[in-house]
Amino acid sequence: MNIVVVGAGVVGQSLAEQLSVEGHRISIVDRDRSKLRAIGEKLDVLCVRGNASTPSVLKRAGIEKAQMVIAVTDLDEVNMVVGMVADRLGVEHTIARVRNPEYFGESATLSMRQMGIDQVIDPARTIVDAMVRTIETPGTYHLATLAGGQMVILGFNIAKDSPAAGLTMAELREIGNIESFLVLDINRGDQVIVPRGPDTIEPGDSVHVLCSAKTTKLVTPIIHAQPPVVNVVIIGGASRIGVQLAEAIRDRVERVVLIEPDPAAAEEAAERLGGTLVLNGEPTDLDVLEEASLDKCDLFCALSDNDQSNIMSVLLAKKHSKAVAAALVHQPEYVPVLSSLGMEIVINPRLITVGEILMHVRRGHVQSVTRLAQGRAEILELEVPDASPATRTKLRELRFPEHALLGAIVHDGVMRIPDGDSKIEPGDTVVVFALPDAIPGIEKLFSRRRWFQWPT
Amino acid sequence: MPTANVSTEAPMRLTDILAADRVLVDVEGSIVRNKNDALRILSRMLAPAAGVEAATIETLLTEREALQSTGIGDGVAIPHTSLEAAPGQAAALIVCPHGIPFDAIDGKDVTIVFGVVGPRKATGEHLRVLARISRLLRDGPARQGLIRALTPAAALSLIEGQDGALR
Repeated sequence: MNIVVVGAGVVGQSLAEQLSVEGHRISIVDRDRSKLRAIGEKLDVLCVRGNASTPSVLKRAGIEKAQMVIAVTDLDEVNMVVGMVADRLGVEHTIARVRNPEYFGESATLSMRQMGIDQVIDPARTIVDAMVRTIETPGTYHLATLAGGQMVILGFNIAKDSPAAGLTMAELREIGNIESFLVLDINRGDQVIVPRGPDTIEPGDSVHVLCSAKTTKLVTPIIHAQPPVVNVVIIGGASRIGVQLAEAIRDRVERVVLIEPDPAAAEEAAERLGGTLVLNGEPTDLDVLEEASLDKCDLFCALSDNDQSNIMSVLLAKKHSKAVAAALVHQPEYVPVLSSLGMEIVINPRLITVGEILMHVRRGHVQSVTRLAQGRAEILELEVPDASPATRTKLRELRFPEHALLGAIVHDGVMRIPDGDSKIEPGDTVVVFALPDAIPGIEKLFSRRRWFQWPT
Repeated sequence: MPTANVSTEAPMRLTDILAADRVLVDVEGSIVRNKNDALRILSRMLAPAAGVEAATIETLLTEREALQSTGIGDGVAIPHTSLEAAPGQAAALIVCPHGIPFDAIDGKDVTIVFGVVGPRKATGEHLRVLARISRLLRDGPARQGLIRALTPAAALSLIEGQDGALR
């Protein structure tokens, strides 16, 4: 597919890189010569300098032959205009990152569809949705959404009194057959175990579970004897995400406290959130955290726009409370470090944006890749091509790589946790969990080369 | 034949938690016509063992089904719930060879409905029971045998045999 990417920031650059590796013809447009030069040195893509809202620049980028335009500059307005112009020039799919909800919310004067934008990417909404789900299913960490929202991946820590402790994987598979879930891996100390029938879950393990979005409520009581409750939530930072989250959860939990260092921003948030306690102070100040009832806090979310402040406040909150911690971190390089510091939820808006856009681009092909256990395991979501060797026999007879697990089959829009008698059909979507050494085998089974061909 | 048999210990066999008076074989297809019938009859059979009103069980089973059908495919459904008051695990079985609609995951009609209730605090044990039932009914010949059973006693003895054969 010919794709024009507008905006050569972190997101545009990762998209160009990923999509060109996957065999698409990419051109990238930006006003900044140095950003384009850096990309041009690294990737085989067409770099075009100029103002992308003008048709002449878009034409130089090959818009007339493009099937898709992705607008991810820092400015909502530019992204929307690019989407509109591209639509008028006959581009089939237009995707634009728009962060200000006033543009696409109920109060918007023109719908995005009317403007010719097919898909709006709003990372804040994705992040807030995921946090709300984490709060609604306490004791789990919502890690990813798959198959267009039908499936989710949850993380759990296994306590001593967990009903699942001591159950064999064979037993859990049977129960998962009824409740629509599958244990993907067991993390024990430094080890990632792809579980087989006789393996048992032990206290102290953490597990990743793939389940139907409809049945997450059924999985929690299997893992927790007494599912933890989320009553008190502290949010550090009245950023757009911070305020949106406070707004989304204030009626779902007992108490939400928002902490914001800037007096004007704190006042504005207090006005918008009427009734919610907004403290004016530093989320890295222990006195302020205590005033926000840190000792009773169940979930601490550091959501300011400052990475350092988020990291510091979370470390402080973890030291002085039993709260589960979530931090917004803009620098992608920090992400792996933070998980190893015991931070349960690390949110990187750029990675989320890239992931979400890739999902739309790949719709109907390779769908998504989610990394678990600090990148030591992957969840692949893929559509099964006609000639795939995986469609030839029942699963029982299929030679599946040892360190991989077929998590789910989505057939005609219905998700099923597979068993030995299941058969994969061309056109199904499958979710595969794999350690890195199993990925070549999985690629062969689902013949990766064919994944990237755009149907003609 | 034992009646109102309720186990409070980890059940090694399904016959420990199932009794002939909690098995219904609807050979004619005149009693159980749909999912609601099945849940209502299961609740009625389970109520004495669970120590609650049938309506309480029926509500809980119906709520669980609303989240997602327990019709797990191949004609099998395993409706289940846990109750504060239940003294132990108890199961009830409906065999309806004519098949009833159950919103099963594979869209097929259901012929074997295995209902389970257990105490809320013994979740591990409840999970083991569910796993065992699911495992047993995964076996095609076991399912075929049950569908051909003409009486509760015959169904129960089939389950006893199959359950004993499980490792």
